[in-house]
Amino acid sequence: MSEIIKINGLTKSYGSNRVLNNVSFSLEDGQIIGLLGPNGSGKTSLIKILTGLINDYSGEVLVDGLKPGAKTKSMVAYLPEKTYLASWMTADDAVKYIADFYDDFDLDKAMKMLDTFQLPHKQKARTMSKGQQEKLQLILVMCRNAKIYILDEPMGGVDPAARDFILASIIKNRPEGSTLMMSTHLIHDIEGVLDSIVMIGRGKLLMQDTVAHLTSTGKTVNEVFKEVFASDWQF
Amino acid sequence: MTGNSDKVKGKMLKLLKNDFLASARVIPLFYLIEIAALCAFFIGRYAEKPKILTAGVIVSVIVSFLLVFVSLFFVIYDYQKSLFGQQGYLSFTLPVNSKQLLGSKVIVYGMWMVVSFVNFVLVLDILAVYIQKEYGETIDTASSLLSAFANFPSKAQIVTYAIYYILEFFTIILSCTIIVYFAIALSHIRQFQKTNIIWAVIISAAAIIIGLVCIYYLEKFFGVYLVLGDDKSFTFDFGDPTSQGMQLTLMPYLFMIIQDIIYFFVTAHIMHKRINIK
Repeated sequence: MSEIIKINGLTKSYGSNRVLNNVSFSLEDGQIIGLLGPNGSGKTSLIKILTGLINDYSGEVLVDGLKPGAKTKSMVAYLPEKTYLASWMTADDAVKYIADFYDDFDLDKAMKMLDTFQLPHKQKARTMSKGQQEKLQLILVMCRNAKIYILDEPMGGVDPAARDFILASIIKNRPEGSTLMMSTHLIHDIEGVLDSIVMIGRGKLLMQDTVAHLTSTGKTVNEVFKEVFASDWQF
Repeated sequence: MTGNSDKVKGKMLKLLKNDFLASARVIPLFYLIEIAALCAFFIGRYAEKPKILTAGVIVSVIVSFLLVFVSLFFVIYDYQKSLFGQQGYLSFTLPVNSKQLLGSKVIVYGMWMVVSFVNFVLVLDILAVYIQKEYGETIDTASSLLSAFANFPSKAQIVTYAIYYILEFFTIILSCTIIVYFAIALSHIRQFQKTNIIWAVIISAAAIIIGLVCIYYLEKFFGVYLVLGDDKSFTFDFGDPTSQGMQLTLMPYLFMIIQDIIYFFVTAHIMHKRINIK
């Protein structure tokens, strides 16, 4: 195993609001990592930095030994929590668009997945339901043979049945040896598939551990999460 | 090294292709309407159907005029939406840098702007020739056009003069496009984000005014002129032109080109460092 993500002294502020404060950790490749924390804990900012969407920060961030930029973007498959498809794009257009830019994108697999997910090829993204748009975006991400997958709240805002479907699709389509980082606060749904966790709260790294080590104490990840963040919600 | 530069070129071509395809979904429709109107005009003329002819004239003039604004609208709308709206999550995570993202937009939408202006001038020319003919004047357009150049002592000077005005036209359009892109990018930094439309207008106006003031003073104190001499000569004059002949001022365009390069790199820097897509 080698170090795929290295973060050292990362600090990010929006004006006077410091969302990440001197965060340091590193992650080994080939794992499924849960990036856990309550809303507003800095998860999305951290993800945006890793994916090269935010570049004004202090500290060191390395993705496979490189500063986030054009080169790391070609090895990271990113699923944001927002719908990012252009209004003019049909499902076919979106798939071809991604295939154009990413050499690791499997176009045939994507076309088959559109059928499996019962997504109309010629329907415009803007006229699709939210669920259909999420499925399409999931196809765009999981049909890449990327080194790293970063998924921001992939199961946020969907019903429990859809959550199972999304999680199963992610696990099934993830290439062997790739690294998968998922941010979520729906820990119960994903803890069964996680290898390790990174817990962030109030802009700080609160815990980094393997799931095997955490659960050896007899507690679930969900219970540890509640313990760590219980003080935020006391009367 | 060559492989890497080929990849960079390849990605740039893909950006150009996709930006062109995105823009080509709406703008060509207007050109099709205009072509249909011009066809109606010609059919009306040769079949002697005045109503069809008049409708063709009116529609083609209106559409060619509208096209300038439609192109301008798309220059702004697509740039704003594809980079600073939610689609920015897609655009900014493509394996390209911000200079390529910006460069592609400038080239594609700059091209649409140029085409729309050229189209407008051509449509007006076609109709002007027709109207002049209808009023009984037999005009030879080529010779009347050349008569404007009658005072030039050589063909080389005519070509230089024409190139000067074509480049002037392109420089102004490019400059306006880049200023608008700079203003939109700057209006999306955290400090201006809440009222970004107002800021984009203010920044555009300020950038244009500053540019015009700079051009005024640069021309006044550091004028550079290309003089097409009466004796077929070409000379460059600095300061107050002393050579005899037609003086073509170069300073505004030199300034605009330098200004465009600066705005381009500043805008790319803002896009890279200061933008946080919401």
